[in-house]
Amino acid sequence: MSNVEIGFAGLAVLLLLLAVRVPIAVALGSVSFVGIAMLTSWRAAWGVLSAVPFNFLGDWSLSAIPMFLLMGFVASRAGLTDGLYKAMRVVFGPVPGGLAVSSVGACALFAAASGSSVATSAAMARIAVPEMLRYRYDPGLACGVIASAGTLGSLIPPSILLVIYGIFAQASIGELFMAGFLPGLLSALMFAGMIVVRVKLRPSLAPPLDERPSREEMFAALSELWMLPVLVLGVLGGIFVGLFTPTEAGAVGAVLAVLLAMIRGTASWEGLRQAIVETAISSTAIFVIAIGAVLFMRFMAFSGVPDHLSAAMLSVTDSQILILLQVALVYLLLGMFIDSIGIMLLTLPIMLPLVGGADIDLVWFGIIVIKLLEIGLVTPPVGLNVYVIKSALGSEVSLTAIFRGVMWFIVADLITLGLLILFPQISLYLPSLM
Amino acid sequence: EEYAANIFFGPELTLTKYAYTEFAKRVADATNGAVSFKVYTGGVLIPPRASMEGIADGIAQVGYHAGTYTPDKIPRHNLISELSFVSTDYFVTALASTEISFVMPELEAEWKANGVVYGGGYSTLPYVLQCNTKLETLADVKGKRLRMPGAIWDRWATAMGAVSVNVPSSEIYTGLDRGTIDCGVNPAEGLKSRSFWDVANHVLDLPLGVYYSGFHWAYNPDFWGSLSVEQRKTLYEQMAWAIAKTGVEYTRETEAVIAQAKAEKGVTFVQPAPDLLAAHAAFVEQDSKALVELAKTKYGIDDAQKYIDKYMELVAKWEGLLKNVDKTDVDAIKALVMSEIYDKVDPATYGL
Amino acid sequence: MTTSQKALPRPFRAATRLVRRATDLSMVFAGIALVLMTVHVVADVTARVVFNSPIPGTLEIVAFYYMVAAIVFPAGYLERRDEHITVELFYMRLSPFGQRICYAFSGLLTAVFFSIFAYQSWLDALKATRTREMVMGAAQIEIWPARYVLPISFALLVLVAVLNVVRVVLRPHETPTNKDTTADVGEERTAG
Ligand code: NA
Ligand code: NA
Repeated sequence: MSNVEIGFAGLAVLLLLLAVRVPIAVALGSVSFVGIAMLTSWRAAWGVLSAVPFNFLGDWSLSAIPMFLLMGFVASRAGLTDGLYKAMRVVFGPVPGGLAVSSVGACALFAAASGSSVATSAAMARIAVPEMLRYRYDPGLACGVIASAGTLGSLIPPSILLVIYGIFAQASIGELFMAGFLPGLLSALMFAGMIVVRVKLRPSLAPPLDERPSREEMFAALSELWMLPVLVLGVLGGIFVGLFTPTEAGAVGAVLAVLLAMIRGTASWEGLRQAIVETAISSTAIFVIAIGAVLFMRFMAFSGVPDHLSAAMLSVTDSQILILLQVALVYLLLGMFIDSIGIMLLTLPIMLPLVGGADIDLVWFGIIVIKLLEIGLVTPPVGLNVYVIKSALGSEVSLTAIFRGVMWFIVADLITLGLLILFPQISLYLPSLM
Repeated sequence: EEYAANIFFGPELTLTKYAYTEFAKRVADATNGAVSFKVYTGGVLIPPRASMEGIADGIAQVGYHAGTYTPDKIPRHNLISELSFVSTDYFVTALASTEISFVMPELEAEWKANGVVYGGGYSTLPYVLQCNTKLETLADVKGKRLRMPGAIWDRWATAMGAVSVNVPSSEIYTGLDRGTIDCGVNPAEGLKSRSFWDVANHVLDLPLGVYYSGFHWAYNPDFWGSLSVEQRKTLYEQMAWAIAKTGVEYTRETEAVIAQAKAEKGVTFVQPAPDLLAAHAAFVEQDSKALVELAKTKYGIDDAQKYIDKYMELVAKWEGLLKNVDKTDVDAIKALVMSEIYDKVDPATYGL
Repeated sequence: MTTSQKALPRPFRAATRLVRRATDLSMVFAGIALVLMTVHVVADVTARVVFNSPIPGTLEIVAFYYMVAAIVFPAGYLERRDEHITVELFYMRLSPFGQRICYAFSGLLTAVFFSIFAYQSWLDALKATRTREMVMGAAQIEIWPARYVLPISFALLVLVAVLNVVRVVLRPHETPTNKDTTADVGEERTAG
């Protein structure tokens, strides 16, 4: 077998293993291990296993993920989310899928502070999803909205992915940040619009919230209304004024959540213990998959599958739109299996010369790339953002239901992507003002 | 056959472009395709901290390694990299640090113990403070939050009364933007390559050392042993060329970045005030004196003086040799590197 | 769990109890790491913002100690509670017999893969101990002890996975579901 054939065979085996309910982490890891050994040597395969996991975990930036999960678990255990959602029931009662729409807004707000999509989803998962489920929202919709809107974390500045792209492509990070803003907003509007339209057509997805809460209930809700905003704004505000970094914000948020729970009188050792255990389980479930994913990236690198796909799909043409559509196809395919940073590292060295040749603006291209990578975060079978939601909710919702719920958001994303390709100005207008 | 070459910088950075992308092409040409490297960038094969082990394990056949990631594995080389403030000339530090690895048996033994065959070194251009606020005097520096790239710079910050803060490199940009940090310390090219000129408008025009720790190339021993003497000679030639070419282009590109920063991005280059200069000079003197003691406590090296002396000697040697060489003439520099370094490394026996 | 079923063999029950205690304990370590991580980061932020003197080495300790411990220690517990993220789409449509085959197969593969993992990380830990592996940041910190978290946790995971497979064989009429696989060995409380 040639290297590329081994690569594709590996993809097939991966799908097979996933189908028979092998844990995703184990499927990714074992296919990578054997695959790398076949492509290079057993020694190198063991070497990759030695080099990757410990060094991957030993990363300060990634500490934001367990910390934000902890914040979410503490907040939901202590009921900090109750008041706001009760109030939102009144305000958004008339809007179809109101809670889901407002969750998109909350994610966008969070994305404006956080630089990572996974961290954004991790923070919002426990805060928003259980509330939506409580009001009998369709589980697919409730989870899909946080998985998808979480991806705004990398489009709306700041964004770790945009920083990496900027360094790789030698494009201005400042311009990329400016450029990401409107597309991020557009994505959020698309999500919201899609929710409204879908719920209008099928009201059972999000039962209308017309039963009015009693006066006492309202009063009780009002007194607690401030809890969640204080938590979220405390975290976001601290980042905005430079008190702490987005990475540190998770820990600050967790402590703030505990303090608020004490004020609310719902703090208990038992509750805290449970939140910690849940956080540990969720983080581990996500990170073993992430380790599998970074091993898989190495397997793909050796196999040359990304190069092969790019070579097969990218015909040389002068048409910018044609090139971008081809690039989109490659990234959507790779995005099913490889995580976002991995794809960027694997493909940018191939893509960038092509893009330069067609005279495509690097900032515009960067935004399109990030949008595509964000879609990859929620496409099956390997979609890290979906796994984050799944791990934060445990057995409450099945993975399949989340992926199904996400499909509609992918449709919205594809429309957004089309607009971004057809109208470069959406990306380039703000940077042009700089 | 196609071999793997690994460097964790992006493909567009100077240290990648000539010493990896171009180097791979030239090696393939010179060996008629017998030795052909596929270059993997961005850490896609091996995580940065494990770069050296990855070469030993045969994940890649050649690769770059930032030596300060592994102080426990190459303590003597880390000691030498602590002499960062001694000379801040690319060619001098790249060549002195390359030569010392070949000529001191203890240093050669460090590479051998880690299962790699040392190929050659590199250097960055000088590090400078890039700040979102103007620093000029010692009082300005005092209490500022600086994001430092390593231990020497931490000591510098402490000596100046500044504060060294924990920020990973991917967050420097946002940190400068939001004001979590006041300055980062990077080579001037970072103004452009990492867009720092968007958020750091004031550069303190005071060279704060260079980074030359680890290697630009080391080879997997099995791979190295499988090459013919002629092929190894070709690699010597191409490494010598790449060291020269990288230096010439790196200098040229950095000058262009500085000019562009001043002209288009409104970045000011601030001359340090006399009190700051004096404090800096005092630090450099005091720090190099303390190094022997530091070597004992930090790296467990008892005979530090001999490595320090040798490095100083080689710095002086290369300063002399390079005095009358045109620093834009790649061929002239390459010839010097060959005659002074690689011609003395026997391709029939070295690394076997 | 129907009581009519034949009791599990004694050595199996003993092994299960042991593994249950070990995974509970590893969860305690993970929890401590999470708490320390939170407190340490907030203390560092506070020290920097209020006193302009951050705690040296925070970044390195968080990355190499707390992160590694918080993320890796729960591995065995994760396996015990069947909390790995899996794709259930096709599995759900299988017959109970088919499900048991899949369950046993994936348990075995998990055990094999993590054995390999545990072995390699054990070698890495020994090597790191020999060189007293350290990282160089603002402070210079030895990180080799953290390396041992990996082999210990992965070995525990392997034990749990093997016991789970044995259980499926011992109890052919029980459909494996995602719940605590050690819950019926005579101990009351679970850590979750
Ligand atoms: Na963001
Ligand atoms: Na995907």
